[in-house]
Amino acid sequence: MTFEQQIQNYIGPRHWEDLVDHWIDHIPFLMEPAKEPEPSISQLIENSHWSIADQAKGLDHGNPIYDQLEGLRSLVFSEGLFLLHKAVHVLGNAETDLAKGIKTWAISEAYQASLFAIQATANFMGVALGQIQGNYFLIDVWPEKIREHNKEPRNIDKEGKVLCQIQLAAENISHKHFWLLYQRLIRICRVNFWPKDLVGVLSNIDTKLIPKQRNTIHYSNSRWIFSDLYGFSEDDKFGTTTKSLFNYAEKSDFSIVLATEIIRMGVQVLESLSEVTSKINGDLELMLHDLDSSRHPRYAIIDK
Amino acid sequence: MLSTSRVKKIASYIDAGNSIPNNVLLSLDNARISNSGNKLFIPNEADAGWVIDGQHRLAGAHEAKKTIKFIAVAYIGLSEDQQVKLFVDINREQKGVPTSLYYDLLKYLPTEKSEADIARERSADIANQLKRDENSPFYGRIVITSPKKGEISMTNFVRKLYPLLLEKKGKFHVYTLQEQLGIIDNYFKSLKNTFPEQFRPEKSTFFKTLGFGAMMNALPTVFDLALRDYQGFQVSAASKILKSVDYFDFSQWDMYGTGSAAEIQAGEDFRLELTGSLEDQEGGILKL
Repeated sequence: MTFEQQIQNYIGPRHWEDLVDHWIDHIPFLMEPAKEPEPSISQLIENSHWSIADQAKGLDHGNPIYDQLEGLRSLVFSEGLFLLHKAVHVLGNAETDLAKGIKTWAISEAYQASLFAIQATANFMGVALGQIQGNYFLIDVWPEKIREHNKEPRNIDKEGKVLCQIQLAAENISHKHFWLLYQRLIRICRVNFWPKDLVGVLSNIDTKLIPKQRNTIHYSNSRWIFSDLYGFSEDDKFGTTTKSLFNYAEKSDFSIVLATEIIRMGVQVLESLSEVTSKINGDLELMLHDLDSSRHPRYAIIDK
Repeated sequence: MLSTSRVKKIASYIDAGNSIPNNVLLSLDNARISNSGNKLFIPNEADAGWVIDGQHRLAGAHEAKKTIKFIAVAYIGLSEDQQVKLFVDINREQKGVPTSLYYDLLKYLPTEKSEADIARERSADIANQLKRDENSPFYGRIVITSPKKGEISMTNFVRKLYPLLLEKKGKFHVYTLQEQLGIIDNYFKSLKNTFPEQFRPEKSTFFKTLGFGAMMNALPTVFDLALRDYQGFQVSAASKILKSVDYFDFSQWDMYGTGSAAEIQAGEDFRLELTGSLEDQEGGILKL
């Protein structure tokens, strides 16, 4: 089974409104804003009462473990939140460089920011990839309830609550897999405040194109996308429109806009959650304050 | 349940050579009286009977160095209901027996309960379930005896909840036990969501008598607004209502002192702030 097949088989659709109701009880109480979550998801699973590493050796990717691992859901959320903080920070670096006329390296930074943001978004949808003892695990803390005819449901406990789903990832995980997971999730999750056309284009972009600018910068010894190794010239229009998302070109602001819009969608998720809980007020305030600052001259004006 | 200091005092009293003329009241489950009627046979086993009245006197006598005789009145073969009724009838008006324990035992009383008693019994049931639920904000926080900071007494819990459950005129009397329990649990979960600072151990605003009383006074309004705007009282619905006043300054309640008047004033403050912040919003789906 490929990873793509695995997520198609095991990562099911969900509604954001339902996730809000689920998350409310699992957002950690009185978090310090932008604090590193402890332990990590990997540490939690590794130290759990059952030895996931040992169990994983006997599993194949078709057989998830179902468990109510205490604290896992809170950690998936907390890690998602921290990843979004990282994304906002790194996007700020990209935008600051852009403002100085440094386009090429800003593209690399923007790609990194988007990588953080897609993981954050996946976590907010309840799905994470955690690494334990060299193995990657696909974790879904809000899987669909499996109802089996004439059998006890596998992923529901005695009180009718859905259990977390943990399984060995079908392939060794690279950036491509994070993008595949993100695209799967935004395609199948109903999130009413995400623009449909944006979701449409993001979920269908060829995953080979997404890292192409960044890989050119990092791995092509003889390439540097723009002529800005030393001389910088500002370009106020660069990264201010989403058009390049629809028409990829190497010498474009594709990665900048991609990162900006993915982060915006992540922030919208938090804004939606903040309507029902004050626990993330501190984190959201920090992010919005930073996004509104001189570190993000393009974030507010894109396509306006 | 026994007060150690009271037991010690009685022990000292006995060791000082004093007698205790009043009787202890026992219930003997498997005892029998001889045919002649002048002998009482009590099985020589643990828990052969229960002390309905006189627990401290007996405990004090056990601790004392001197031996003392008691007059005992024993009932034989009482049902559990009858034992509980006796205990409640004898101890309700006495000082020192926690009223909360009375509520706890109320559910064992036989029929012919008043509407208020039924509502109190229901409130005690709800309290008992909530305090045992690990996921509830009330977990481990509703106590029978003297509450510490962050705890609320069963007495206060029942006092504020039962009017809402009264048959015919209670706000939530039409709902089942599980629904009523869900309303209270969701309400406090929503409070925790919206005002997490107030749940800090050093504050515990909503577990003080005034705070709990005020928020219970405001509950009907929060409930109506959630029902109006979201057609339900899930945590998310109640939280959305409360979020409209997430700036509310609870420190002003410190000025009100204590007592029912203070609870009414504090609850009214909150309720007015809430309705004021939501009055511009459109209504729900009321069909007329």
